Amino acid sequence: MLVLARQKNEAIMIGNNIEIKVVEIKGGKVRLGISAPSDIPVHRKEVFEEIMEKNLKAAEFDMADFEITSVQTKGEMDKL
Amino acid sequence: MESNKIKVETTRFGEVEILKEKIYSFPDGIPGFPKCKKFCILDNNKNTLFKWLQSVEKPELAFVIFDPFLLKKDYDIFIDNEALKTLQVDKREEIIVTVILTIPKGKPKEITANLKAPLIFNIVKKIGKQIILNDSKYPLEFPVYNSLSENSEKGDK
Repeated sequence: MLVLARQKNEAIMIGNNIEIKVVEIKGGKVRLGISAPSDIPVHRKEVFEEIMEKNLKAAEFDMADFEITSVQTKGEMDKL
Repeated sequence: MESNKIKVETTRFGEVEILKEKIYSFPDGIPGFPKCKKFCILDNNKNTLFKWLQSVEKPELAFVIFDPFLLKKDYDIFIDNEALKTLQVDKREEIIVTVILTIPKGKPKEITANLKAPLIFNIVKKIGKQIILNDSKYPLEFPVYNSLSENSEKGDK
């Protein structure tokens, strides 16, 4: 991993069009400003990990539980 | 004659025959399963509101998927350009949005829908992708059960 030291208001460039700038450093927290083309999604790593974990959980479903949900929800849905 | 069906091995449903047009490619995989790039849609005849998204490559991998607009009528999402490119979308009509349901083991009543990361399908080009919504308006765990009964109670009045 490349490690770079940056001070407040300094930035790094990734390729030609992604800029990451240190906006503020306060009490062990760094605020970053990210300028990237709109076709590049930017996410906090935790969010991606959260989705990953949720998917792993969702993929474990049990058919017996599904059948119960399916039957009971059907009743609910019919009322809609 | 070339068959328009393929056989898919699954843990939950046994061996199923799938029309080739029911197979979607997921170029980016799905978070947590980056290597699984081919999925098929399995219809549920008992309750058509639910469908399954079954991995073609991994028999044990399947998700329960659902129409988010039944949970939130005003569900409104922004699909970023990269996703649109991956999905090769030309027209809005090509897109169908679904969400993955999580059914906790032994607690089917605690079923939740992941509204934060919907699955987008291009039904014309047969490409799928899970996108992550950046605004935190929609939760990772939206209770399905309660919201459906609330809606139906409102409907009764």
